[in-house]
Amino acid sequence: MSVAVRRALYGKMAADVTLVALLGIPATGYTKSIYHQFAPEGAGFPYIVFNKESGNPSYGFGGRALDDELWLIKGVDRPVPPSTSTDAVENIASRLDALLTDGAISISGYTQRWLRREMDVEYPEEIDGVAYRHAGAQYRLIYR
Amino acid sequence: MPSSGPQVLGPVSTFTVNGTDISDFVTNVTIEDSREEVDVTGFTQDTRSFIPGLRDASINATILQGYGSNEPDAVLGNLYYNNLAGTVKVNPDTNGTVVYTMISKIYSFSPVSGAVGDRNEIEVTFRNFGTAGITRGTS
Repeated sequence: MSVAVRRALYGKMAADVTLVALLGIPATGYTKSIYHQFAPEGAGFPYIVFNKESGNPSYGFGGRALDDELWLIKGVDRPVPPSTSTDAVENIASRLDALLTDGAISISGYTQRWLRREMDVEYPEEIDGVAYRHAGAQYRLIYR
Repeated sequence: MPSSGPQVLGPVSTFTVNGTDISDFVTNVTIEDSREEVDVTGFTQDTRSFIPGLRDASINATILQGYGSNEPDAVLGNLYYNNLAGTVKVNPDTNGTVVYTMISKIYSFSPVSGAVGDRNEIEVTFRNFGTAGITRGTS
């Protein structure tokens, strides 16, 4: 189900002008700075990455009853030194919450039952002396 | 009947109430059929002796709620709120040959169960209403 769900989530985020305005310049070949699993080379900061972390289908006797998935959706920024601000990713996280918690998404072939922010994710990261900021959340999505 | 091997309750198992198939919503079923053990030990006996007494039967099911016209809330609510008897049929095996049938009523009904974000999953006990109890049939 990942393709349909991924497209639904992407579509929801990409269509939100407020969210898109918080993002950097997309990488070549992309229209929005929203990426699945990881950002491509040349992606401008900040951007959003999202990926499915778990999926738990449940079944009735007759077949699949509900799909229960956890998606990590977060903003990633690389503040230009000497700035260490996390404002950009925190603003993205807040907008994601406003947009997705109880937000309606259109999952092709399925019916959404639940979408809410479940657990916040926020941490710094340093790679080769460059500091990155991450902020977002795990979102639980239930559909059938 | 040919051997069907060890069984898993799954896609070909069915659960119907008055002919309405609600298998998609049923996640757990237990059929209980028992007889009282009547102690008929005499004064002079040194070993207890029993004979079968009255039978009792029930079918317990865990069911995901659904609110369509042929879905659990309507089907089960119809039995409970109108004090109607319903024929419950459980067809558990992969060959589709064994069927357990019981005419039953529902004496308690909790149509909503769960906390925020939970599956709306209810427990329903179908109690025997007919004179036959649970019957096991094959087709």
